[in-house]
Amino acid sequence: MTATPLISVRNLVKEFPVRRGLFTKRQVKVAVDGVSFDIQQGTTFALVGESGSGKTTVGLMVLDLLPPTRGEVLYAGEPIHARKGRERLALRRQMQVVFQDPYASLNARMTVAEALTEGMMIHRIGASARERRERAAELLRQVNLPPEALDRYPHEFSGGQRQRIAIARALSVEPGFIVLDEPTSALDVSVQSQVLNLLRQLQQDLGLTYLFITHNLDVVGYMADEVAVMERGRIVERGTVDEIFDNPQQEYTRRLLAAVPSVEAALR
Amino acid sequence: MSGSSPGMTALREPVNPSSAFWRRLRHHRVALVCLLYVSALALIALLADVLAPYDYAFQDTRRYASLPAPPDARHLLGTDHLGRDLLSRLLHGARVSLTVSLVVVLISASIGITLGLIAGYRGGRTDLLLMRATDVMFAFPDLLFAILLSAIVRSGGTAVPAWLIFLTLFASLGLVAWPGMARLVRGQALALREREFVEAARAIGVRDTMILRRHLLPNLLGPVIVQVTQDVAGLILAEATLSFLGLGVPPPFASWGRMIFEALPYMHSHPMLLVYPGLALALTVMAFNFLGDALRDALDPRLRQ
Repeated sequence: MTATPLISVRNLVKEFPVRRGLFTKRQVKVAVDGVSFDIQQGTTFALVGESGSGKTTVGLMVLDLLPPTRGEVLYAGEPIHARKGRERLALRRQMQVVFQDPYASLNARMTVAEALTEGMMIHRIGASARERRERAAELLRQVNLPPEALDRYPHEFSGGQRQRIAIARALSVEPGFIVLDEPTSALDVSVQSQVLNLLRQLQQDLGLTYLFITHNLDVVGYMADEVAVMERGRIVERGTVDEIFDNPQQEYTRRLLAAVPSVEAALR
Repeated sequence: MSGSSPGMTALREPVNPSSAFWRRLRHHRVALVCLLYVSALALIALLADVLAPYDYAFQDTRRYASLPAPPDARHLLGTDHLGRDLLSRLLHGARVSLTVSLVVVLISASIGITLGLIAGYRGGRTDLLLMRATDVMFAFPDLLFAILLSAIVRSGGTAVPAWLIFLTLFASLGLVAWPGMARLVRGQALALREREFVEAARAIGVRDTMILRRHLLPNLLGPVIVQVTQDVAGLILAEATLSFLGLGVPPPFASWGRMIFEALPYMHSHPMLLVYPGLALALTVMAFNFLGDALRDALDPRLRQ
């Protein structure tokens, strides 16, 4: 049938300890409760749910930024959480992330050039500082920002521009897979569609694979191939975009669909 | 904008990030006065040899012996009981006070920032351990420790070299003055490590030590500068206290605390001997405290008008 999925998530569980009184028993809150899914190379998999449904926690575990309580994540068939040292670093280059808040996702004390070349230095991309800078300028061009942006600081940019810089930073280490954690939720509607178009364009040009995390089902229709709906740490419904949109099985999904403001008209 | 193709988003005009800070500081009258005072003091400390009419240890024994003397044309503020020029000692005292407090703050801030960063970024057990240690140090009687340490070192009497006494002074204050900084930095680091740019740095493979240096440290410099300024005020006072007890800088060095100590026997007959160094001390401590407050206001974007 199909080849090995690029990302394979198997029975992922994350429990957080909850502190109660001194003498009560230790309790845990289950944030992610047995989540499994596969993402095929070059496709976009959307994880949809309300805030608190555990979707961001899944994203962090897939990126190996948070250790899972149980379960595993495979990258191209290999488990990621057992890796240490150099192997782990090599994986960092393969998987990148773009976060929701463009105001919090860039270090205010680093210029754009510094932010874009930091990853290159770590992964030994580019032979000299000059070559890395040229690459950074090229990355900016890819996200439609002028090269003059290189020596500016983040506060000099609008939210949409910052998100482009964050995308350029993710691309700076030439990853194959990117977790998009609500990449447009903090942006104006008009800017949202620009950023989404850019992400789709980049996916086509570079053959990227996306895990798209959002609470907004409407953008999912535009971006995703497959959708999984999360509620309280579990996947309650999954399918292709058409299946979910045309024939939602769960009451929860229907409520999410009903809550969607219509951006889609602007996008199509 | 030259060189940008039509499809690209235009950038805003460049903004100088520090200009807003200076504008806010300029509107703060008290802060400006304090900044001028502190700058002048630093200049005096640097140029004490040039500015002071006499050496701090020079005794004008011909006319002034064994008793303090009032001002005259040669000694603008008079002389002390050993015939030393009061103005010269006051100026040299600025050098001692500032040097001691700056060296000590360098030691204590380094310790506090390092421990605070590690505690805040690591969290968990490391945080717990380091913060309990900080609590213990907070409860620790700093001055008693300094007194004890210098008393031990000084038990060698006059044979103890001056540099060793200074070293003791730096160490005894520096090793106990860091808990405030550690707590402040820990709190800042705790908040910063949750920020998405730190997660993004981890995701791209930046090592923890580099995250602390490149991503956390530069983002908490503001509060650190405020804390350092106020720490300096406290340390100037601490040095004066020790010197007043005869345990600070060794004679014949001039320090404001030491001058007050030496002026005590003549408090009634020659009160100005005590007033000058006391005034210098009070003004300086006040200036650093006000400056700290003003910097806090100027650096805090929420208080912007």
